[in-house]
Amino acid sequence: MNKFKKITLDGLIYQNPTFMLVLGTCPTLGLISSAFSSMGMGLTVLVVLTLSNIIISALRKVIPNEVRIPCYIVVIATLVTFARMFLEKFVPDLYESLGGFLALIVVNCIILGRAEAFANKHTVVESAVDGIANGLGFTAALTVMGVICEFLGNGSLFGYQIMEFRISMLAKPAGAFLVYGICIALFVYIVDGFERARRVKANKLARENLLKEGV
Amino acid sequence: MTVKQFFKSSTFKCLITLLCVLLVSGVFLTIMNSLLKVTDEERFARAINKIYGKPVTTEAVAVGEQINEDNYHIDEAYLVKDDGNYLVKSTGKGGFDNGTVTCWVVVVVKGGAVSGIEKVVIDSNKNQSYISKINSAFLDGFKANFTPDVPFNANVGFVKTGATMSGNAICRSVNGAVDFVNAKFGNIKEDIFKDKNYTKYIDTANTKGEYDEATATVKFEITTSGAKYKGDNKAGAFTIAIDVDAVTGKITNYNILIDGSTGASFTQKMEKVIKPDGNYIFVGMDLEAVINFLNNGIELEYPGDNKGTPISSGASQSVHQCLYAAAFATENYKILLPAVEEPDGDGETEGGSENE
Repeated sequence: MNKFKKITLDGLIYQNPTFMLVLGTCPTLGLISSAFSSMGMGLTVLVVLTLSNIIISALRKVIPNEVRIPCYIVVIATLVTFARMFLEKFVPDLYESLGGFLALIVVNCIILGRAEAFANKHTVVESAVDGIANGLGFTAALTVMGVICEFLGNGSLFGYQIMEFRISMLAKPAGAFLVYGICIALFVYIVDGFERARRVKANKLARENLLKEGV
Repeated sequence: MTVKQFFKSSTFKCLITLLCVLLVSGVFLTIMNSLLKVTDEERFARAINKIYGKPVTTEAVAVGEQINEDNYHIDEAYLVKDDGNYLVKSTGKGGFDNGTVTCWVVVVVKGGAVSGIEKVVIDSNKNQSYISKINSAFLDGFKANFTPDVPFNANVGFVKTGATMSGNAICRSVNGAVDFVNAKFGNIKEDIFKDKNYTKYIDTANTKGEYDEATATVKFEITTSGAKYKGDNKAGAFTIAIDVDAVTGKITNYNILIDGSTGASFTQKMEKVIKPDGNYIFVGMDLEAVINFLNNGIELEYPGDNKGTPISSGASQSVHQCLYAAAFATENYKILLPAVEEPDGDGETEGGSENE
């Protein structure tokens, strides 16, 4: 159980693909001007990542090492094409708002990265958990930045106008870059703070134990 | 390596694995494609929902012959029975990178002519990487800026979007829808300049001209066709007022009403050629002088951006359109002159009786 908790926490926080590993930057910068688009992109990546992790993990003993990357790419491309068809059929608004970025999921480093670094070395269940955790981490990061950029850049949230005040630059890729940088800094600062507090607490506990033993 | 060795080798295993993965993927996608294919009916229902927000009853209208294939293409047309308007799917050409924008246009018809644009919705596009910059304020401009017989121009009355080329293509799409409905269901306006000389770069359907008896001049309001040029930065359509003396065939007045240049810098470059001292060089020119200005021997065909031609300026497309409009006016003013009454056989001709 501890193993799954670690995989989940890694995907969500300690190895968050967006804030800690800075992967999938292209859709991040291109789409975070709208909270709806960023959340849609995050959820699509979550599904594709989870399915690709499951399939690649299931086939890890069948696929020869020499052709593993082409095989991964074919699997990912198939899933992305399926995701495009599904969105075009059932969620056309999201399909239109994602535009070309939807097809670019094929070359998203997060998906190929998790396939190569995790799925081909772990069991199907572990890979599925890793896919969900990383996908949720990516979705959460994109949605948070999308909300910030849309709220400050357009004065709206998920398309609903809230205020007239706006900083137009934040609704553009340059503003997105700025928000992305600030979010990375804040996220790392917070995670680092927690880590430091945890280490201090552990050291204190160890010192107390030593003192007790000494007595 | 023997055949047996090959079949046992890792190369063969890799090949088979890869082919299997491809085969399974292909079969899966084929099945999914047939299951998830979006039909034309679904697309139309979505478009209707986007435009009206509810289902409406429509009746398909035959598109028939295309009117102005250079600027737009009419894809589909419907009569909306709920409100009597026409819903036209029209593709505007001449967007960025020679791409197109397809729009659904709700055209209002009253008294046998188009009386307004109710709504414009973008359906799809080709190569328009800045299409997301086209906002609702721009599209709402069609309803606000409609004037009968005046084609829409992205440079006049519309908000600036930063997607000039896509905006031009949308304007052409909407102009096409208006022309189509006017020609099909409104008072049919004859295109008297169609197929005349020097009309290749002229939007003849949106060009007007009339003879002014008081000044003995033919007054034109010429709309050029900016979509003809090749390349990325194509100049938009110009609207130019030109007066031609009915006797001498020389231009007496030349004034650009709508500047189709894609930016102020292009306007400045163009004016260095056509308005070097503040006055348009075309005033006083007749057809021969206009042709001699470019003198490329190929009927004023656009010579490209090459340096060394009289229109080389960094805004050669804009200059060429202005020149071409001048050629069009000086060539075709005779069409608008009042018909001279033929003397009947018994009547005296001027001076005739004196000779007898």
